[in-house]
Amino acid sequence: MKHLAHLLLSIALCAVAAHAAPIKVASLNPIVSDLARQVGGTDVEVFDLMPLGSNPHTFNPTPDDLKIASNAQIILAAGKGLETYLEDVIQSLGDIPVFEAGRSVPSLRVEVGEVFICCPAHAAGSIDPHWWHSVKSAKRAAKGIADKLAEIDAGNAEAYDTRYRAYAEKLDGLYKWAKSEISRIPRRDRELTTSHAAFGYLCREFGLRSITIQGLNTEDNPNPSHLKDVVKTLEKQDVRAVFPEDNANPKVMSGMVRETGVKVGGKLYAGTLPPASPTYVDMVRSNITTIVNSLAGNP
Amino acid sequence: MRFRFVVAVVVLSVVVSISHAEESGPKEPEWVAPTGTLGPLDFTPSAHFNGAIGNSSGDTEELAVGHHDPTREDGTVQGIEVGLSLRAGPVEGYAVHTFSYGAGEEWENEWEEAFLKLRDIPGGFELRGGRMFARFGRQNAKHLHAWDFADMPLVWGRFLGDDGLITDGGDVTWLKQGIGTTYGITAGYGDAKSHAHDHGHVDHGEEEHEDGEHHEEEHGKDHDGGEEVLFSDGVGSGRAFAQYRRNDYNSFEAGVSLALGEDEAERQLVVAGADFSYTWRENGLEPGGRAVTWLTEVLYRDVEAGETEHGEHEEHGEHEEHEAQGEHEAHADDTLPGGSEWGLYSQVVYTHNRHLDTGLRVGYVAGDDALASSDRFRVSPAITTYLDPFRRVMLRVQYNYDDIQGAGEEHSVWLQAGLSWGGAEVR
Repeated sequence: MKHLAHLLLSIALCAVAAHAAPIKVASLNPIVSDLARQVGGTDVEVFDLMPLGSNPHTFNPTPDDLKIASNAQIILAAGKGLETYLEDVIQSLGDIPVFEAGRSVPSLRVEVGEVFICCPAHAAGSIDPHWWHSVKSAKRAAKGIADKLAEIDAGNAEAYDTRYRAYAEKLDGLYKWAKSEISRIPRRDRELTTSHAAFGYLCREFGLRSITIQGLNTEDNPNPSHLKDVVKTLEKQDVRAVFPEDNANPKVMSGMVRETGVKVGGKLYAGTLPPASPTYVDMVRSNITTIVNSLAGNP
Repeated sequence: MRFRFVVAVVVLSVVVSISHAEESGPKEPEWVAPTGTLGPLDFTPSAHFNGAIGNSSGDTEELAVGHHDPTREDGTVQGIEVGLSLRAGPVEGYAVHTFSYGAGEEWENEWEEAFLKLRDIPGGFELRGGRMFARFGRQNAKHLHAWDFADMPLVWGRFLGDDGLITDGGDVTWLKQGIGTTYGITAGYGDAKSHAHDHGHVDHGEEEHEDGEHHEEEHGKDHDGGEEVLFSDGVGSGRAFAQYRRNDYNSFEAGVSLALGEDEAERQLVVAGADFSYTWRENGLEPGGRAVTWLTEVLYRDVEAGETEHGEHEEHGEHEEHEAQGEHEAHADDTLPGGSEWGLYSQVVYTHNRHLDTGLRVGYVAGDDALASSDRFRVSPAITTYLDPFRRVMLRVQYNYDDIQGAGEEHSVWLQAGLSWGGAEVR
């Protein structure tokens, strides 16, 4: 009887231990971390290697970060070339699988996408890595993460799927809300002027025209002729507001504002989450609200 | 001897290609695709050369279906395309002049395209006006330098002419682009460019009419011996398409096209088409890596029966004059036949790396006795090697197996060379 009790206790402890031990996930991007938390719930423990507020274009994992990552069962990245160091991470961590969440998302090019091309050789162009500014793309990425987690933790596959479905519904609601908000901006004012080319996906998804002062990277310095063109465009199209971003070089935008007298809108989150409420949904809500308030005015 | 030369060049090219297979991510020098600025205008020049030599068991000229197809065993300059693209905000333009030397044994030159385009019109519209390749199907809008094979698909030459459908007119396109999806509808109207290339044919059905007008080819035979029935003035054409990128690695495109008009003899023509393609790319939108593209286009043509000029003359009371001149025998039948035909081509191109593609194209056109056109089947395997990682210097070897109803089987081998310079062209 005593042996049976020990046996039952051991089995119960093992079961509890197995259930209680979440998968260790190391993430190289805070937005991807949030998606993983949403679909992983209590079955995952996510370690953010990139601190909130860091610039994803300049971040590089330290040896300490790599040490944390070496204990993870999976490493998540945003992908699409954003993590220029990813190849090094893969090599130094050996067998730990690396999953690029943006891989399942169709890319946009930074240049205005030409539909009619002369030949395949001229279809090239830089890929815009900021896929998370499309809510539909984030939904796809969340599905990819849920599937990947289910692959390495088959016992909880159903739980990942259930959480993904619930989160997908939330994102569908977010998309509808954002679309309705953007519709409040008069069509002629649907111009989003930002420091760097980070909001192409948002513009494409919600029908805004994108004007960028810098290039793809926040470190880029625009050339004088491009700046001249931007000033001309802002004046000609009577653009209502320009939007500074987290991590972008403020000098360039200040100069532009001085020269054109255009209003400065609120700050947009381009590559990180709002510190007060660090979730993807709140980042989108914050960005859309900021844009609408500046371009449509408060109701 | 020439065949050995072709084989030697191809073997050498493939070896070079494989030896460069691991080369990755080089940056193209600026001089290869220069862009100039003049005030608000950005201009991009381009120049392309394509030529071919080869061997054929048949009459190369009769086997060719396109104006730029190889027609001389000793060497065809399929095309030297000299073009200029202009961009000034939403206004763009493109013009290309093409030189070629083929079976006619003399240099030909023509403006293939010269148009202006206004893009980003509110609502997602764009307008084009001038001479342009009609947005009809997939093959039609491609210049020679963008072809995947050394020659034009059978069905294209027979139904739309040896240059495809080029119109002097205008079109309007509506585009709706999302992330991963693009929808478009184009409607255009214009006069079809005349099909008056000199292929050097001596028995091509040319007629000298009583008014002395020389209707070269237009009332003649096509390359398969059938009546050439092609659009003339006043062609309306349209295309609707949808592109879907599931992700960066898998993409699909499907479209339907329609062209309506008349031929020189005022017979009503309708050409309808449907196309589908799938592309897988190992590196997604990044250059390099392996890739597969499968493209299929099906075309159907309906030709309404019409009257000959002789028949029309009868209505105008000119019949007696012909009889008096004893010409009635030459116009024994006063009606021009009508009929319907269909055809298709399907091709797969596998990209091994930046330097090597292999392709296979199968084409078929069903003849119609009433139109005196014959069935024709062609299989074309091809190996294309690029000597540089930017795909500017190309060598392609292509074998054509032809089976033509009433003419039998023919075999051809072509070695095609291509040089390409310049940046993206306005389309």
